[in-house]
Amino acid sequence: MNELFRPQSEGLSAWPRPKLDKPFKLTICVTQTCSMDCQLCYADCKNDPTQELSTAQWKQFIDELVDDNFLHIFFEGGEPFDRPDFEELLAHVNRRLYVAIRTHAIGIDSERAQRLKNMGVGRLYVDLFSAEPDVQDDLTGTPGSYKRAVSGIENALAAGIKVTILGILSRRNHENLQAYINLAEELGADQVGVLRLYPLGRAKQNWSELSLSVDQMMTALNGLRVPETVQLVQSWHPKDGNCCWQNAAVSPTGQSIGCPYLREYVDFGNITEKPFLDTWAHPLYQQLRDSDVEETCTECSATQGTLGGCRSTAYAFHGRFTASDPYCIHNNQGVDLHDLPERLLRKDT
Amino acid sequence: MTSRNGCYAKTPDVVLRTFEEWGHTYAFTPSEPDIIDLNSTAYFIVELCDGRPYGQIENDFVATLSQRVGADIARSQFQSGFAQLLQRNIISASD
Repeated sequence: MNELFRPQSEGLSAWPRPKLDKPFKLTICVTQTCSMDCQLCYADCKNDPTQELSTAQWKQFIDELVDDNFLHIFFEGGEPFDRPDFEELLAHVNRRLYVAIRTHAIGIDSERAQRLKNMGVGRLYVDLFSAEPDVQDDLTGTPGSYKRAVSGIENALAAGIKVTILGILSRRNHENLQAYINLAEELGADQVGVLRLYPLGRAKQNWSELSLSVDQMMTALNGLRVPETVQLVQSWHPKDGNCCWQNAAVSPTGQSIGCPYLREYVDFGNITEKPFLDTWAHPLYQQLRDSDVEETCTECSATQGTLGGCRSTAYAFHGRFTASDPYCIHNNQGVDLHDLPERLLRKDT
Repeated sequence: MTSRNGCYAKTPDVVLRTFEEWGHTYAFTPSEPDIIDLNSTAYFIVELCDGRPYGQIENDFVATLSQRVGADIARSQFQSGFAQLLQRNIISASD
């Protein structure tokens, strides 16, 4: 009976994998706009909202998800709060779905935090790249962003909203990762996420300045001391996140893209032209969910049920959706993660 | 919330989604937004909470589980589980 409940933050127990008739979590990349200029941005955010779905189209989509008995939506961008109608969309959800939001948090004052609490937002995932203000401000290209993000986190926590701080492991923060974990405790966040760097958007253009080898990543992660009040969430061996099988994502223009990290590689159809669940049935999407891969890490499979690790990074470095994830120490296959494949940097890819 | 006449049911706005392969059900609790993973025991208690009095629900649970784990353990599991479900507002008074 002690296992009556298990925190959702631990993720789904991945084995045996059920054949899901719909995803467990659906990410809505609600906008491609953002006021910051992050070096690690995967969306290559700009301030041009043209082509994005309208307020009415997103509301219709949310209603469709409710009708189809979805449980969990996750908003990200760009920066969701830079979209003028974002709170209107949250109000439209009206507690019919569990809502989490990924944000830079610099616009979350105490009034907005209270509104989010009242609208039933379950958790904020705040991108905070470093415990060092100068590094954060440099990585975001926005002076003062560290101070404002911390203020946003404090406002959210004061309003009673759970907060996860999210850092992307890079050459700029790997030697000071312990301070980052400690910062989560100091702020009162109950979760800290340390995420891998993906070769997407602006991040791939800055790859040589940001990327680490898989050994450097493991060294940074293995030495961490995690406070009792904080849960560390990370996606490396032995928890290689081969999560395509349970999640989904829709781009700002309505394209069903499986996962935000697959945004440059797949297109399963547009939700304004067909029901989302028709895109869920796309043959490539089914293939990714089946984890038809060439090689798996037995340790990751045993502990997490993952098969081949993340499909985005496998495809990025090998050009095949069936390849192994080079971020896994056992499946790296000699891939130098500093060395980005030339095809990823071409404009037409 | 304690029931006036001792009857309990799943809280109306709670949404359940079951994954039979795992023997787990996920419960979304809108009043205090969270997604909670229920094991098969917890889900069974929720299923039994169909608006009947507490005593009947407990007896059904114990009758089903007692051959496997014994009546005392079954009753203890029920009482612990029921209290946790009530505390998380997954079940509530239905009167």
